[in-house]
Amino acid sequence: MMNPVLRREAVTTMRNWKTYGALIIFLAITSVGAAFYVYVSMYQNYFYSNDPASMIWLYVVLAGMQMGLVMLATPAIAAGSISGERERQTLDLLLVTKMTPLSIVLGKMMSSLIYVLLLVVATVPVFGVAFYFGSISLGSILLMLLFILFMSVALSAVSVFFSCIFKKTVISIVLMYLIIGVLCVGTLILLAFYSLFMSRSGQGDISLLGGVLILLPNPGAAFFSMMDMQMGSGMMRSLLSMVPYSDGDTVRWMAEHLWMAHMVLCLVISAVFVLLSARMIDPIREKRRVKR
Amino acid sequence: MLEIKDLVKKYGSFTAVDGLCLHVSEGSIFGFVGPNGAGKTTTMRIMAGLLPATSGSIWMEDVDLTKNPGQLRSKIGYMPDFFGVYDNLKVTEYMDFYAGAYEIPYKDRPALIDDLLEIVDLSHKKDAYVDALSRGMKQRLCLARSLIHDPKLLILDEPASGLDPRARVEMKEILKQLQQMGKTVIISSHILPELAEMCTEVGIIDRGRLAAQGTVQEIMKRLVQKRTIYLRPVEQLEKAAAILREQPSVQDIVENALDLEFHFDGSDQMLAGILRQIIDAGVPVVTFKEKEGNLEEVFMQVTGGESV
Ligand SMILES: Nc1ncnc2c1ncn2[C@@H]1O[C@H](COP(=O)(O)OP(=O)(O)O)[C@@H](O)[C@H]1O
Ligand SMILES: [Mg+2]
Repeated sequence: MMNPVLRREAVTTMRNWKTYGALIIFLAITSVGAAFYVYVSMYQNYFYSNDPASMIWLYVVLAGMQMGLVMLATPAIAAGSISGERERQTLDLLLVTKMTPLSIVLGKMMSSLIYVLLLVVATVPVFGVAFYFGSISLGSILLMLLFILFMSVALSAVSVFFSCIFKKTVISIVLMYLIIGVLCVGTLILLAFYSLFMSRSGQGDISLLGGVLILLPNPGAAFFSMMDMQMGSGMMRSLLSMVPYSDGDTVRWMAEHLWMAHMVLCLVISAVFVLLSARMIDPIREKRRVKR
Repeated sequence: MLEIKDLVKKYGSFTAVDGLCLHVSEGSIFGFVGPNGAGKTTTMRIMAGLLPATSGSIWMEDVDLTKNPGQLRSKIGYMPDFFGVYDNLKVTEYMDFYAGAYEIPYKDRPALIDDLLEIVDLSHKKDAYVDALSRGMKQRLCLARSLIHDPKLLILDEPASGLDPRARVEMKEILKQLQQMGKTVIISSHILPELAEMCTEVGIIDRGRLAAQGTVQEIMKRLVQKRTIYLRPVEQLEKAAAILREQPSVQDIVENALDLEFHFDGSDQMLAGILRQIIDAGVPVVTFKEKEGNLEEVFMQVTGGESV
């Protein structure tokens, strides 16, 4: 039997005009972004030509935009899942049913993900442009979308968790954006300090590992790592080369595989926060804690 | 059916439920009455498994609900005092959602939902959006929702509050129907007369403790020495008054132009005897009844005059 929460959310989401608003905004940003890029790279180009290399970069730009949009959209969608029920005074009605707190949380997670998926799938045709002009393979596009999905799963798990804790959805959303900011930018600053520090003390073997660990939770770094692997863009490689005393081949290998580790991290974070959320909404958890 | 033993609930240092003991027998409509803040909602939420108890136990079918609320979820229906509905959802979809949450197979749902909507008189609103229903209709819909898994015990927290008189009458009709269906119902209110007519038993709670329990009549008898009786004959009012004045159990006769009131202190049998005497004396009695307002007085007396 389909998760009842998911079933209900599917119905109400499809009836909500906001869904279509979000869809239009998503499509508009992606296609305007793509068109702008094509315009700049083709018609402003000195040779006025259809340069395949720039089309490959179109893919990176499109995927990057997709990734950024999902990063912004996921908290906005998921952060209201439990606090919204609380606000509407429907959570108790749900908790007295036979649904377990875990299945309620999973239902909420899945509905958020399907929403995000809807937005992502709607923009896939835009990728067709990159697919058509460039030499990018369908498999690469699918792998990239899978990567974005994993990230979205982790983000929605943490958002749902905040949604269990905070009464106000806005607080959860703002907190999520702060965390995403710290993960994307904060880790880079940390890496810079780390490199500075390491170049003084100088321990080559562990310095690269430390750098990789600092970048591991950074979704942007993981994204560029995947681009390194798919396109040979070399962005992650140059970033990691900041870390002193690191050997070129190892850096290259790390740079092209960081995204895998990041996806595993996403799964672990998702599982942990789903379980924590289920605990948070379990009305009699205090009792159980006393018993243990 | 349900046995509450020494239930205690503390919010920090504040004790909302203070050693409550209560027995609800099978098939009864149990009125849970007390002024605002007495601890009714708290107790009912603990019964429904939505709130952990500080100590004490609630037994139903040899299961302690304070320890294993999940075990009896399928046997308890709960309707909170305040609740909301979802936007963009139709009445049947709303019911279907909760049917799913109670793991009722898809194929059984349409017939079941039709039946329940029939009971709460919402069949004509099947395709309406739930957020567009009136307050009374939402209340009835929520009641139908709490019946979807055919629970044995229904816990209704102030289902009549905030309803207009007409909606209240409808709610009472539905409760009667539920009783005929053999359900045990616990229904709370801060107004005793509201419940008196429809409850087989009443428990009065005040400041987290049980102040009295029994049938409405029993409680009245135990707590009120003086009952106020109203008498209206077609004529010969004076003759009736004369008979009453001879009775040792009758005091404070107040004669009006067409009727009279008096305080009575004795058993039901004695009261019936007095009525027989008056009728035997040839007084054509149209009305002879205990005054309703009394219930409110009882309530005030029991709860230290803090009722609303
Ligand atoms: N979550 C809470 N935190 C602190 N005090 C509460 C809480 N819920 C209820 N109370 C207090 O407990 C008492 C009983 O409340 P309640 O059970 O709602 O009473 P009733 O339903 O009989 O009006 C009240 O004094 C109320 O202020
Ligand atoms: Mg209450």
